Amino acid sequence: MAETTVHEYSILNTSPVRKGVPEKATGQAKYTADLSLPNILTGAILHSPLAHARILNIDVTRAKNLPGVRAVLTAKDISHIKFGYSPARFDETALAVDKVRHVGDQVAAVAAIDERTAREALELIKVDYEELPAVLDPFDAMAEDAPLIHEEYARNVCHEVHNEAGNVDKGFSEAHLVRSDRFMNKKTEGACLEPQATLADYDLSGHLTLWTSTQVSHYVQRTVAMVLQLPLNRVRVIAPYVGGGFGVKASAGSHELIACMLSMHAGCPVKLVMDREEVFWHNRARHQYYHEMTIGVTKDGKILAHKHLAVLDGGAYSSLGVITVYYNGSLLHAPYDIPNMRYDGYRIYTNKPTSGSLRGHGGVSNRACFETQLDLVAEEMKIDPVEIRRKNALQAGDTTKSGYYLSSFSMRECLKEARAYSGWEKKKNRLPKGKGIGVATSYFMSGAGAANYRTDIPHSTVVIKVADDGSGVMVYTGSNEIGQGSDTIVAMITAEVLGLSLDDVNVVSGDTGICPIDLGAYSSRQTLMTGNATKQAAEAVKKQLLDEVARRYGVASSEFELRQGKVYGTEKNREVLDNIRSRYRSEHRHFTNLTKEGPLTFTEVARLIYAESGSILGKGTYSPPELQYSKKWKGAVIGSSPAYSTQACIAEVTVDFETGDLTIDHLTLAHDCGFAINRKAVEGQLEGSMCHGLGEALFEEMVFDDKGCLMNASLGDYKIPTVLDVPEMKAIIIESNEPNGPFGAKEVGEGCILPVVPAIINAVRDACGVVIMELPISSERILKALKAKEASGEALYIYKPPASADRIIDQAAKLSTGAAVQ
Amino acid sequence: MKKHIALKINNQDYELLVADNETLAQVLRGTQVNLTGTKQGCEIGDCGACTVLMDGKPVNSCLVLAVQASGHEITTIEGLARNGKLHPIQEAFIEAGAVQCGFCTPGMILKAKALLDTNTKPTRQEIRKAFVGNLCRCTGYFKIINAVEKASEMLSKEEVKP
Amino acid sequence: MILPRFKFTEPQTLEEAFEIVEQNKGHAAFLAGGTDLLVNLKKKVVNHSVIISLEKLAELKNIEYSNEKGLTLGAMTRISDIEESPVLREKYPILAIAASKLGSPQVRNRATVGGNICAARPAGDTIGPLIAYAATVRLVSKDGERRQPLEEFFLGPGKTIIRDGEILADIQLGTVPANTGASYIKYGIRKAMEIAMVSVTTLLTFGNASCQSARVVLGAVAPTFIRSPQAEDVLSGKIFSRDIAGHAAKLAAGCCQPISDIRASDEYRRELVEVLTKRSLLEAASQCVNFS
Repeated sequence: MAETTVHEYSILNTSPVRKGVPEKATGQAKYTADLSLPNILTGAILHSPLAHARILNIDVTRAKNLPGVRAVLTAKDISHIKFGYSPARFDETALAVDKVRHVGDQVAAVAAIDERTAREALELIKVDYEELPAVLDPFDAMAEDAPLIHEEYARNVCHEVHNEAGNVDKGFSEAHLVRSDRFMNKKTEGACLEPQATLADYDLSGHLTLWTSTQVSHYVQRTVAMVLQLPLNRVRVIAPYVGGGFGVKASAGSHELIACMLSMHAGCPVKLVMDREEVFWHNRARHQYYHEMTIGVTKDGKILAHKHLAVLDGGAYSSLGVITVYYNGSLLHAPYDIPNMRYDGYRIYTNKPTSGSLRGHGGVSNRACFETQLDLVAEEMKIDPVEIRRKNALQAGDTTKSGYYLSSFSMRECLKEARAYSGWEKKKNRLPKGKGIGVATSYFMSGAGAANYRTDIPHSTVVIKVADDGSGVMVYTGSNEIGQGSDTIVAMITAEVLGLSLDDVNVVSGDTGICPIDLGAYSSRQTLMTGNATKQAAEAVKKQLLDEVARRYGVASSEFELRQGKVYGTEKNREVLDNIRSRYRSEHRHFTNLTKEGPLTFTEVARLIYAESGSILGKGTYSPPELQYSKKWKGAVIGSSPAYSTQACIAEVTVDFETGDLTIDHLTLAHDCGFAINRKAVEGQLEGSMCHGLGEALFEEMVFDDKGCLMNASLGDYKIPTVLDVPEMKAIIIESNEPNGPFGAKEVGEGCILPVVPAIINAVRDACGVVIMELPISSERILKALKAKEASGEALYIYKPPASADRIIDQAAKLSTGAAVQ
Repeated sequence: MKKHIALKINNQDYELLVADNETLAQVLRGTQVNLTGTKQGCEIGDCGACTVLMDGKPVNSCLVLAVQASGHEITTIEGLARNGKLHPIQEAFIEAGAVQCGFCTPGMILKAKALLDTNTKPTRQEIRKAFVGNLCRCTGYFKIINAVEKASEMLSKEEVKP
Repeated sequence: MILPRFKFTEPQTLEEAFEIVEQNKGHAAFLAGGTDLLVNLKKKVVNHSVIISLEKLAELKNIEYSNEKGLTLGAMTRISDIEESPVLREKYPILAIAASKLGSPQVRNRATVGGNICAARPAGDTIGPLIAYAATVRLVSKDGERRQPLEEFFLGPGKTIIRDGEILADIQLGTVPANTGASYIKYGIRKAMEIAMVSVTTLLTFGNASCQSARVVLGAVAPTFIRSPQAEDVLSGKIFSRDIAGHAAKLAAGCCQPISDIRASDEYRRELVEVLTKRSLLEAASQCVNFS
């Protein structure tokens, strides 16, 4: 578990120029909205202005007659086959069939010669609604007589999860200290800079090509084929350059299906680009959570028991929310040793935009509550917050109570490094009034253990083809590059194994027509899973090359090494070398850049093999191994992973006592990524996560009025951090050498956001003695808390969630009483 | 009824037919000019993804009418590379790891050019203040600030005027 | 998002502009920087079939300063020019500071002071300092011209005393007396790109160690910008001190009528007014005098 390992890699663990980045920096990179085709039409969607309503009638006559309109669709024109994320909960249709379930729900669609005409046509569509009572609050939604958003789900409970390991009641009875706290966050938005965009081309031969801004080409392909009842081989999904995903583009969207249907009806390609407001209505980002957590610790500060009750406000459809309600429990099973755990979680439908998965899926709000509570325990017991975490930390080789085996896990190192860099020792309890320092840790999975549909297929397949002229390789992977750098990871692994320069490795990704299946970029799986498959494919190519060389040389293939574009070892037999080289040279007479001496090059050898036996292909696959999880823990497979990351964050803040203004002065984040294949890319994920976490801590919330309309559906009113809001930051890479990961690598990208919010909450407490248990931590809330603290005369004041949150949690508690525990 | 406008884009003369209610962003990205490097993230001036230089000054092209650009000089991201070589600012962004999804990148790079044209050695805080109009969700801005510092060093080594 | 259909006109002279307005009564709007109007058109908050660009009107771009007469600032002066102007930074510093906090550099390169005024937002950045500097505006129309103190220009959010056919031509600021300190404080949720939750502008002129005149201007806490005569009275004619500043700040908080919206509650805004007014007064005073 050394923090630094000495490596002898040619390219791994460096920071090369990333694939696709020069194109992005010159404007050559084409994102979906930049694409065009002959006869292209513009698609536009009519959205519901009401939160809950029956559709009585839609009159499209005037829209259809508007010159320039080529297709108008409503539910009666299209497939009603339902889709979503989990087959157990397919509850979406491309257009609303009988009723709309949130403001922004899709009602009709138009394809026209340009955007202006399309939008004018939308205004000509007349929809008669019968407004239904809407439920905007989980309390109202869970009421016995609540209007049902989906008829099949009583009390609007989309899904519920109950599990227990050990015996929490016994644990609490034996604990020295027990405390309960409640916490809530708000629904947040992904805010990718690139709005969703999609271009569908259903051509004359009945083949559908869909270019789309997605994280999951494979899932989109399956969904489109299923809903439109097209054979899979007639549906091709291509992800062009994608401007961010963060989880919100991790499932097929109705806009994609709509574009396909418009194209089928109009007989032309249809491009559909969401405007920013539509992006907010689509949402598919973080749920709003209401938590109640109870923790019991021994007199030494060891955690004995933990109980967690939570309600998730899911919005109108399921999306990834079924998974979320599991992760909300499982992402607390580490990084601490908790011998007795209980979780009761409810995901509730409401008439609001749908929540799905956002960076740190299911692990941000619960972690914020847990870490804040743990700090309160530490404060009460007068234990240093870093120390209480260190002492409870799980380590590599441990297994969580849910049965997750931590093959590598350097939480203590993360804590140690973050503590050292931030100067915790010199600062804790020594900062001037109004300044504070806080810590939090967390863990995350390195790829979901199961696909979103029941299947035995490998989660990643990668095919590498050596160029027939031998000059390099092409790597085909169905994985999705969304700016995180996955193409570069794939290229670097390939280059390392084959001893090539990165320039000689080209990657084709995210195209279901030519790339083998990869489940895509979600649950932070690609570095480990796609990476492993890539390594295997590259090794297969290497074997073919070296076996052939070995055969010709009459020695074992282990005598040779691929490095720097050459095959070292071939220089040992001059005669064989000259023979091969002269063949290559005679084939390339008049070429001026031929190798004259030294070992045979990769190119010379590859060309030779091509001549003998045709194209050289290597295939690699990855399926998660038989994952360990406790069968006694219901749903434990959801949350199990081949590997787990861990991280620690330390935040330093200043609180203005008169205004409540909160300034983040510094953030330090140490993340155990197993092994940093691309160091700057890992740092970039950490830095991005610190910023994103800061945003969710301080600013971000979707605000609705009492009719379910979003009041801040713009990037001016929904506030993500500007550069001035973000302090200097330090990203620390910890490498624990994960045995299940390619070259020891595991995830980075999601885990690193988890400890940021609670580190800030804890720093605020340190700065001024108030604990804000409701996100975002606005200056108004801080000032309210400061005044209440002053009035109370206490050293600590806990700003609790409002009464409206309490009744939601109380109601869920009533629902869960008597629920069977498996 | 479309209007005829004449303007310079990336040092090249253009004569275009535009509608009164088309924005500069739409026209740059449209079929007459076909420079899609300028991105649209919000269309109402909140995000800066559509930043171009108008007579050397950064503006949100989503809030400039195409007709207003007549007679002016516009620089888009496609206009930065010189004689087939990357501009030092572009190189700096690439090397510093300041590009992830890349959607904010054209706006960021053009804003960097505008800053370094007037302030050749900005401090980190000056850099921050200059970039408040350019949102980024991926990078946390850290390596972008590093990139601008690096670009300033690279440019100071050059003898040619940036 | 698309802009609705409209006819774009670009008069070369004021006369031409008046003519177009006359011909399109009720359907036309003036286009200054566009960072407000174009957004409102896209969001369908407003709809105009004729847009009259003021860009080519040289009369609106006039900037003149003299130590005798003070400043004449053309309505079409860009916010970025105000931010960067050496003269303004020296003579009317809080106007330059307020300009630097408006939107983003991209917005400032297009937005104009006239547009900021005519948009008449209770949080418009340049308005507080302009009122503090006792600005007057000159309105021109085909019937002539009139002047109005900026303080009396606003009727409510988005509403001004401008009549149909009138154009805001320029803003005049008198010379600032010696021994004047000024401060502009804007508070928002983020540290940039914000519409003020609360803004406070203070201008104090001192003579013989006492404050001879005080102007306290509050933004975003009433339907229009307001001054606080109660606060000003408590300051004028007195030796400045922290206690007086605190007292004035309390009175300022008492005279505002903030609303609750998604950004903040009225209660919090009132609290901010008190805290920020005191800070602003201390900042302004510290530029001129020592105090206890």
